[in-house]
This record gives sequence, structure tokens and C-alpha cells, in this order.
Amino acid sequence: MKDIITSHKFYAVWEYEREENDLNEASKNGLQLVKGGCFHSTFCRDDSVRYIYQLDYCPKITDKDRYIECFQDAGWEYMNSTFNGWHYFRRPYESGLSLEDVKIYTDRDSLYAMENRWCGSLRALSILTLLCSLLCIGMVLYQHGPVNAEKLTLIAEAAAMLILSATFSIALKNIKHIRQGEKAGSTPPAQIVFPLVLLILVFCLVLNIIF
Amino acid sequence: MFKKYEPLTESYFYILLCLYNHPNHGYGIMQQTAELSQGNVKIGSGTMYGATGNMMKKGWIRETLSDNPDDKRKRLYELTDSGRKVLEQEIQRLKHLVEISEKIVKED
Repeated sequence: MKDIITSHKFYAVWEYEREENDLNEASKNGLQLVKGGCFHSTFCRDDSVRYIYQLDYCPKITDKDRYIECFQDAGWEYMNSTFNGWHYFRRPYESGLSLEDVKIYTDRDSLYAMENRWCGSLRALSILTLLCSLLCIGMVLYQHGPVNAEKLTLIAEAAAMLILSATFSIALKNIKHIRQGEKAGSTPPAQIVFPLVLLILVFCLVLNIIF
Repeated sequence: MFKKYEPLTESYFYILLCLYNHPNHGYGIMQQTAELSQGNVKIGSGTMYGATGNMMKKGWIRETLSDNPDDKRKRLYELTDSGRKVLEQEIQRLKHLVEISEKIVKED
């Protein structure tokens, strides 16, 4: 009986390579992914094997058999898919194998096409959150009178939405920089931004219920 | 104005080339591409899935089943007439490029 370890570490969509690296590193240290998920991944402890992982984003697959076969042809083992279209693959690690040798996207066009599949939603989200933020600010300005709890929550909500919008925009901008061969800055880590935003929104909700 | 035939990407070109003489499965295409390019060009599975899907949509290749009982992989890809034409036109285009460059760039 191998012990199962659950991880709730999550990654933003633009951090998929970081997730791959973390999985490779975990496998090296004897923690093998059993099932990958967005907010819930399971691992088991096994020091006798080591794998290399790759993630693919492909929410609309017309022929899943053909899809999985394509990966098996290149030596990948299909693990599982998440509800939102990410697929996890692994292959046994061979010494001397560099990460560049096992990339599942080997030309620029197909890599960009994969990224573009989620960049569109990311752009829409960054605009939507910006509009939400502006709406909150507008409501604050519209209300006359002293600063009260309602105004405070609106300001907090505006800030939360603005943080999200800015993070998404920075992520998109960095992707653009990388594509143009320029130096990309760092995007605020989702592991800090998302809980922070959630915390603010929960705080606002509680405040609204109390007052 | 859009040209009728866009230049093919290297991956598309190799896939079509590997299907020119006979149908082939995904594994065979990846192996042959590595051989032909002496290891310089690799076709990863994500690229392969996207490229074959696109080319099937364009009608350049189609799926067919292997009738060889020894073949573990039943799914084969096969060049269509229009795919054959696309590849031949691309080869002509490349030949022309080489010819005109040779006139200008003289290697001694």
C-alpha cells in the first residue's frame, strides 16, 4: 500500500511550464503524480521510478482516441484530463534526456496555437474584471455622504478586481514580449494573487452580511 | 490578396513528405522525419496532433485503417490528391528559391 498525498497547489494558465517543472522536480524526489487537477492533485511516494511530465491544453478534442494515440506514438503515457481542458502526460525519465528533447510542441506555430487557445479567454477576463472594477468605483463616486461600510466594501471590491485585471494583463504582456524575443518581466504569482483576491471578496461578503 | 498556397511549415512539409510514397502511422512519420532531417527536425505529439487534424480539415490527408494484421497501430494517414498537389507545388516553390539564390549567391 503506497501512501497517497494530496496537493492543493494550483497554477494559473500561463504558469503551465512551472507546473511541469514542479512535477518533474517532485518525481525526482520520489513523489509521483497519480492524478493532476486544477485545485486538487494526488501523488504517491515511489522512489523506484522517475518521470517527465508535459501538459497540453486542448479543450475541444473531436477524436480523443486519435489524440491519445498521437502521444503514445511518441512514448507518452496519457494520465488524465481536467474539467477545463488540460491533459497530463508522462514518460519514464532517461538519464541524459533534456527537457528540450521531449517537448510536445516542436514548432512555433503549434505552440502559439496552443497558447492562443487560452489567451483569448484571458484577455476577455482581464477586460471583464477591469469593467467590474470601474463599475465599483463609479458606484462609490455616485453615492454621496460619509464613508460607510458599503462604500468601503465597494472600494475593496474595486481593488480586488483591479488586481486581477492587472495580473491578467501583465501575464498577456509577458507572453507577447517572449514571442517578440524581448526580455519578459515576471508576472505576480497566482499562488499569492488569487487567494488575496478571494480573501478580499469574502471579507466584503461578510461585511455586507453584518451591515 | 491572399495567395492560394501559403508556404508550408517545416512540420507540415515533413509530414506530407513522409506520406508521399505510402500511408504511414504517426509513429512512422515521427521516426522518418528524424531520420530524413538527421535529427534536426522533431515533431512532438502536440504539434503532430494539431498538424494532422488541420490537414485532414483541409483535405490534404485522410485517415485509413491498416489491413496488416501484424500492425499494432491500426490508424494510418494517407495523402489525398490535393495533398499531393500541395506538396509538389511547395517543392517547385523551394526549387525555384534555390535556383534564383544560386544565381546571386555564388559559393566557391
